[in-house]
Amino acid sequence: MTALLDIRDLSVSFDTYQGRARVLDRASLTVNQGEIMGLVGESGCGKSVLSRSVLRIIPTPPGSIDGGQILFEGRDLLRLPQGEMRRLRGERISMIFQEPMNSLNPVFTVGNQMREVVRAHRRAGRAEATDACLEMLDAVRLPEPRSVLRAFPHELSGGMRQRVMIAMALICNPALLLADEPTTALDVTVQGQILAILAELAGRQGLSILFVTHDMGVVAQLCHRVAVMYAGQVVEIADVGSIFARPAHPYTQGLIASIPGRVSSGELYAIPGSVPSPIDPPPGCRFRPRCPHAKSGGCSDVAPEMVRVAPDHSVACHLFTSGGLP
Amino acid sequence: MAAHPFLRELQLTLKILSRNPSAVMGGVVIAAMVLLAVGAPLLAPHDPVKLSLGERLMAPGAAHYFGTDELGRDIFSRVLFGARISLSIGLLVITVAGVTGALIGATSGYFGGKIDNVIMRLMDVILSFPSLILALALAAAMGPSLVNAILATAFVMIPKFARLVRGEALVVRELPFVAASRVAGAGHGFIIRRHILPNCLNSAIVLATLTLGDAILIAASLSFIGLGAQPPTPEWGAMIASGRKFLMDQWWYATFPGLFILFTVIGFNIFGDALRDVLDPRIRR
Amino acid sequence: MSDELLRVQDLCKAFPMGGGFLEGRKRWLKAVDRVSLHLDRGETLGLVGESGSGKSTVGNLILRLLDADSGSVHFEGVDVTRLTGAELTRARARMQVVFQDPQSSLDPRMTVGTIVSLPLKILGLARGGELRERAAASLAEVGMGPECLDRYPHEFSGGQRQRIGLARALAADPAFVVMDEPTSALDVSVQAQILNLMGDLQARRGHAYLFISHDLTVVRHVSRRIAVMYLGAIVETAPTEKLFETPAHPYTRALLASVPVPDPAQRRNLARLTGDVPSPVDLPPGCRFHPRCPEAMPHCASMEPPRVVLAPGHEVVCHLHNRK
Repeated sequence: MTALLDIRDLSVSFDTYQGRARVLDRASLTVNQGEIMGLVGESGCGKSVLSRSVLRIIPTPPGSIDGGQILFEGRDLLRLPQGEMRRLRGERISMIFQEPMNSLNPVFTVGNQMREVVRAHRRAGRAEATDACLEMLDAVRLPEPRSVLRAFPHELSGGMRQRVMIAMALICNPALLLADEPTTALDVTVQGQILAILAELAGRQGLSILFVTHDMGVVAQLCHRVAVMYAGQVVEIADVGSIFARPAHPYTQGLIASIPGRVSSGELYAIPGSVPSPIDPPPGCRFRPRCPHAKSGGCSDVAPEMVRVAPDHSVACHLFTSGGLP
Repeated sequence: MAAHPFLRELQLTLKILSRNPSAVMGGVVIAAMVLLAVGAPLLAPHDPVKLSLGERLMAPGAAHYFGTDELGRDIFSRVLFGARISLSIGLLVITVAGVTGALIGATSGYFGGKIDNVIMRLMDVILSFPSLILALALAAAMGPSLVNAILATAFVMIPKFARLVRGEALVVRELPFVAASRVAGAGHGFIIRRHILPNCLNSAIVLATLTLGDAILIAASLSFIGLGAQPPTPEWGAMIASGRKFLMDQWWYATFPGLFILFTVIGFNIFGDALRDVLDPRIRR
Repeated sequence: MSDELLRVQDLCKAFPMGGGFLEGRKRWLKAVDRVSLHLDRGETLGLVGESGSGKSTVGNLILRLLDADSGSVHFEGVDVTRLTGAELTRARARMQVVFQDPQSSLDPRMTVGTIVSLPLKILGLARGGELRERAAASLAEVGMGPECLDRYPHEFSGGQRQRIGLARALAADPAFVVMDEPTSALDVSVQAQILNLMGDLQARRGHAYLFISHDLTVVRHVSRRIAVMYLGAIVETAPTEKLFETPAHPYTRALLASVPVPDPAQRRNLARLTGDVPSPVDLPPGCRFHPRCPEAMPHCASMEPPRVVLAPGHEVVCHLHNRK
């Protein structure tokens, strides 16, 4: 089965006043048809940059894509001309963000903006576009969809705005939805509702989702597969069960051990040290300075490659050789 | 990179500015003026106030680069010393206006409510007058002297600083570190002095750079009318006033001081504009 | 000397909304509506709620960053809401705060040494060279060395800045610290460091903490008792494990059910409540939760629910448990 989205060795850097920041270092992952792929990591790991690179919305003065391929339905998005990329956005690949207030234009009604999305991608009269909008608002379980269409963004609550964002993103029935921390700014009860909607829509429409988050709880509840990132590198990819039950990479192990929910009380495991700066990252494996299993020499010479350690489980760590655990 | 936040920001700002053509251009002009001002005693070939009645109203030449005035004084030397005066006036004006305005603005923004209302309306009243006219009226009322011109000009510029610092104060007073000090029992004075004012310093300095050119211009205009520097002080505005009667036949008398005012003010304005753009927080990202 | 350190009784605070020239009648936002709670020496009380619950406002009222409209806050036996001047200063030395945002909780223009010793300076508890010594001692307690004294906040990471904030709170040796979402802005691994540190400090120094947070898993980890707030009122108070095992209030139950458990083997529907978290302006009559309550009864819309004691330490404000 070919993957819907296949990111290969993507490297992205940013020009800053302090130097060149290498925010993504040969990151690779795949998203298959109909699955929800979690992309998890802490601040500065590059997960947002990765998701935005897929749609090529990284600003390219300071940023630049230094290498790699992003294959979507067989085509390399990085080589696509601008016009085709524009057609793709919203129609085949959509994105929702953390702050819905910034994604919605405050001076136009919701209906106006949603209809605009419809009409940007297909010929539709006002009535037809409105019907499509109402259908979508219903699918995201917004009560009184007609009044929502007439409302301005500031008249809606955070949870409602996020649902409008989802509706707008899915109105043209894309194959892939990129979700960049869509529930981080929401209250937990509202988050629960949004996650349920996403899960339902994914199941019903065969939608694939790349769900970026820092919350392992959300990952456990929503995702089928998970990619863990650290300091610009993808360090582990596995199905969600394996990630929690048998985390292979020392960073993933540390991350899971530091979640309060998993230990009843007492000391949490805390990964010593802090995330390196992308401007001057450690050579070789970027996690080496904080890794309890670091081998002197090997780990700092060359960045580890991803090796498969189980049917749906790959790790980028020198402790592992292909085919199994050391 | 330096550690102290002020030095560090200065370094960063200069680095960004050096890539901006307007900033560099304006900066060069400013630097040149400062050099001339500082080096006036060394660079001036003649004593600016020494009369030499035998050499009156000579055209620019080898002995006198900018010619001489009706009392035989070397205009080039006078212009150089004029740079000293104008730049010092500018600095004094913005210092007085800045400090006063910042204190007013910080108090107003920190307390808010009625105090803020009253103070800001007062500032609005001052701002509603065209600055030159108001400065003129004040200088006239106080009597013609350089000190009065400085005070009058400073007074007119206070509201700009007050408004700016007030805006910053409104933001800073809500920040958690202010609350933390309050929880530790800090009073209003402490908070304004140690938290609000230092954190507004940055924008005040930018505003000072932007308004320096205006300050010089207003002070020169006051001197031109006779309300500022008095003879024989070689102030640019006063020199233009004296040179006006000779404009037809002895063009050099008023022209050179005029040109210097022009370049100085333009230099500060261009530099100030570039600085403002560079420090716009959205672009800074 | 009794073990009870803090007793808050019927604390109220409302903010006026609108009511200006163009907006007609004034409405009131009842941020805190008759909140009562207590805290013993050396224990941690978790205060949990979503946006609009009023939990941060309660913290601010206790610390006298805001003045309450009515109610009392008895701290070490004295009602701090009525204190002024030197007495208030004395009380302030005993209660401190740690804020959420590491970026803005430290004055960027001051050195770390100055920041940490500022409470001592303001309260007049030390002066001159002693300030520096005590700052160094406080920093040592949170695991940071004396070389940090002359550095500036921007040179440190978020986790380190939170430590500095903790050092500042501890410098005056308080009995009680209000932690207002201290780890919400931190990554999970950094959060673990800070939580461990807090536990250490409490064991060593015996502080009491009021731990305000929206994150139930964190609160569960640190608190001995938890109070759940909704729209300005406390709806349930219980010892931690009791709350998680047998939550009594329907809101507590819904809240717990919405928390995504980091265990894929325990997947469940997280959407237990419909609608969004309302704002505490124009509260509904009767029980404030009844419009969203899955177990609302007819009289919930008209009568305010009573406080019911289910077991020692376990109280709930709900008609469901009212035996009458």
